[in-house]
Amino acid sequence: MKSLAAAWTATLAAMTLLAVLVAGRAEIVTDLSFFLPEGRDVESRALAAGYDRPGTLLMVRLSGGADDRDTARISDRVTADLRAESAVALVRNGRPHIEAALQNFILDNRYLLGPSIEPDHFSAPALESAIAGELAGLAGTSGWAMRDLFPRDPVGRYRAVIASRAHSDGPERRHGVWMDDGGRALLLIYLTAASGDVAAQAEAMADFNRVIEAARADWPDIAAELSGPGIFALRASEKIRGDMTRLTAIAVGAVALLLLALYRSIALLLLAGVPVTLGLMTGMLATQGIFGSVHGVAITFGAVLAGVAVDYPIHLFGHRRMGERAAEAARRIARPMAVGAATTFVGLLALTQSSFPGLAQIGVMSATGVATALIVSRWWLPRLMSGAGPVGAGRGASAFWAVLQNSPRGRRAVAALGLLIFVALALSAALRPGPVWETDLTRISLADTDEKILDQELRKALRLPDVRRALIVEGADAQDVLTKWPEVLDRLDAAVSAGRLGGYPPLTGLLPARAEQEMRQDAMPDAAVLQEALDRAVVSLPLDVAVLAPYVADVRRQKQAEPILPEDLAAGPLGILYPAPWLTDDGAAAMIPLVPPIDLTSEDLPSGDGAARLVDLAQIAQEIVGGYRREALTLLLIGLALGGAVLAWGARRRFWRVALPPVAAVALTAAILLTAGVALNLFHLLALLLVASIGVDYALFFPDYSKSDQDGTLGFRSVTACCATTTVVFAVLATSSIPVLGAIGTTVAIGAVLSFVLTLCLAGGARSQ
Amino acid sequence: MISGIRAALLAALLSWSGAAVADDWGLDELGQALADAPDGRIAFREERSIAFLAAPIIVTGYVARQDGRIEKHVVAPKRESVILDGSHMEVESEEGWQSYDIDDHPALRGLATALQAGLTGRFEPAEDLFDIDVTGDRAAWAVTLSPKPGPVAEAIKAIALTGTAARIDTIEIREADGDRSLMTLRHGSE
Repeated sequence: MKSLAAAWTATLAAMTLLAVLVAGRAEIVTDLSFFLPEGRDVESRALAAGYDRPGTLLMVRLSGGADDRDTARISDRVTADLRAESAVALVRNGRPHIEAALQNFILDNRYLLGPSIEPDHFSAPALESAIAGELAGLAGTSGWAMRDLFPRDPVGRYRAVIASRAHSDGPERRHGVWMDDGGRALLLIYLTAASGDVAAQAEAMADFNRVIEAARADWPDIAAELSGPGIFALRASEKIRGDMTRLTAIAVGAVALLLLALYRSIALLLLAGVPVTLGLMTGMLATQGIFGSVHGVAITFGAVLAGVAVDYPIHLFGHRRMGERAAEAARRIARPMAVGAATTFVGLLALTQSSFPGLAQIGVMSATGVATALIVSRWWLPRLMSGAGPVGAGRGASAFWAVLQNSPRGRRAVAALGLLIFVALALSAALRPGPVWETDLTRISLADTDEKILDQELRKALRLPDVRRALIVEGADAQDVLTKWPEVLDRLDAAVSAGRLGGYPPLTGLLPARAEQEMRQDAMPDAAVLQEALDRAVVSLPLDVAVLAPYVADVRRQKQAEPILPEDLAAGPLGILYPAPWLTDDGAAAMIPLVPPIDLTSEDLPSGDGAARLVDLAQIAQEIVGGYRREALTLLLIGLALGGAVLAWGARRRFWRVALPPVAAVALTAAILLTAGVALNLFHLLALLLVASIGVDYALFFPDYSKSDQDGTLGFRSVTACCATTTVVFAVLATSSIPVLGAIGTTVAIGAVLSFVLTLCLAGGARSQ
Repeated sequence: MISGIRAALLAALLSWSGAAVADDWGLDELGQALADAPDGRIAFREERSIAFLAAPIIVTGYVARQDGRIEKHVVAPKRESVILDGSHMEVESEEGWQSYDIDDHPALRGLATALQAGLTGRFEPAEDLFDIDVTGDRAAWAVTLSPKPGPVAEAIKAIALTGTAARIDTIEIREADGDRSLMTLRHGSE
């Protein structure tokens, strides 16, 4: 009794320690990074571009004004209020507006940035004509806005930079603000955070809602619709979080009730939780240690695997004879338990080699969890069990077993029927019209149809770049990419003029290559030379040349400044709008988003060495996911082969009897899914691995293998309990709104039942020995 | 600041003569005259003195009221059309179309308020932003708008209008930084 108390104390201490470690160390993420590729190749980075960069795009549609003019007022009010929020970097509602930080950056570097400079730009005649033009402009309204700039920029270089390659003017305006055909105001917001930063997204959403709520004081009927990558990331995270909490709670509750019903012992219920909890926590710590964070999807999968790991304690309870010490029962079932766990473990181990970070996380998390649960169940759990006798539940299952026990013919009939059904299903699956593999990524995504439609509508209304097609420019390094840029943009400009392209984002071509900047600096005159040219230029103008001292100082400063590199621009106030090149395995690449219509021909792209090419991001994503799937399939086959080897070693001459039910269960499950019209994805494959693992477990623990009692009732009962708990857990998971988890849930729930039935039919016949 | 616009707005505000007015000449009577003014256009010549320029810039064109909207059309030195519509000022020039929210610019906001009040013949809203002083008589009157303390006062020192009966002759805008604009309206010469 004393040692029991000590063992429990040690267990609780270990659990507390692990819990503290998990709480303190594990960084749980629930964003979409789980699904993102990790590679540094051009395509992977193109896909991930924007995910981890600041400047999440938020598209807003506002209505609720009495008329267009009133809605325009709402637009202005909301825009002004949003600009005061720190989470918001830029807001555009159709009115000319440039943030002071952006304006200052461009102004300070106007000769290094923007279009090339005419060779005679700084000559006295050119200066005279430019300054005269600006003076005339001061009479106009833009002059009113520009007057303060005149002494610094008397030749209008700043405006030339801003106006350069500015194509897309956005949507139609009514009363000066963007509105769609339905008179709803359109806003574009760039958040300071990256779209992958879910916490920042949530804060920004709260800010936005507060602004709208404040505006409702004056316009009670305001309706705001939002979309954008950050919103999708946030919603996905909320869904993952919500499902994590809800499904885990329901599954744990259901399993607890089931175990209570079967064993009528709260103590056993608590015992069953020990290996599972420890396995989950060590799994999380291992994942954290290897990957630096733990993804919610991996945790949920790990928790799901706990539904499998709970089998070990169930077997331990189930196989304990009346009056037997728990340690003895543990020793007796140690072999099937170890063989089963080892089979699952090596299968999962194969997954850790995946280049898909999500899959690798699941592998590490689950393999660690299974190993821990096995070790705890085998060597530690018996110490926690008192001398009390075994449980006497499952009478119904025993009776069922007794019937089958005495009717080998019935079993064979069931097996034959199962085989027939399988053949029929396999045939219909093979003949069905749909694809076997899921290639449409959008069906794996978490957004629902309405959200996707809204996103498309807003993108179209705001004349934003296409989400699928973009231009990729590659080079030996970032400077090489920038060097190629002007020719690419020149051709795009021509395509825009010819109507074959809607445009591309402003400021795309803002930054010249370093060499070009240095050339400009060489061409800039010294202060004395410039002063002399200005003296001559203003002779006929009503201007005191002393006024232009700030201009001379500005040119001198830019002549001596360090050239601006892409990373400087990306880190500055313009970073949000600038599509900076990224490093790849072979050099650097950058992506130019394109505004529809996009009817570019090969002549619109520079010829030779494939410097610029049109890509379809959706297709890239499909290819990457397809690559993952092929890789996962290979890894799963390797895992199955390894598992088979372990099984062959562990089960020896019973190998085929143990291996056949799981293999048949996997094949049959896949056939059922395909027949039901489900296109298989990566996660179905993962689930099939689980089915195999479960099937092995059932086959191993069936009475002909374990020898806990004479008629096999104990073994049958424990397998029945395992199947019931597993089915319940995965049926709960099947209800998940996250397609990944739903796929796993459906697959394993079907597979677990099939494994049970097939084991019953195929493996049971050996009782005669 | 482009005093030309403001001047034009005020010119438009104040330049349409009304019918017979009472012998007493004051803000109410002036307002009534302006409210009754018919739509039309008046040529202007504006001298803008900017501190850093040795000589003033000369701007010419015409102002007009059309269906309650105020328009200013600059003909020289650069063509430009300015339309005041609600709280926004739309500007069309060689450089394209632009729209300014006058709420972003206190100076413009003060001017627009004065303008909108004047268009309806009511000076009450303008009185929120300006102290209004009327001097002279029907034959030669002057109105001085002095901004009350606040953002408008930081941009504008004073706006002075002169006229004869229901006809406005000059609009002078003195800005807080010393720049100045004098617009002379030439009725019947357009």
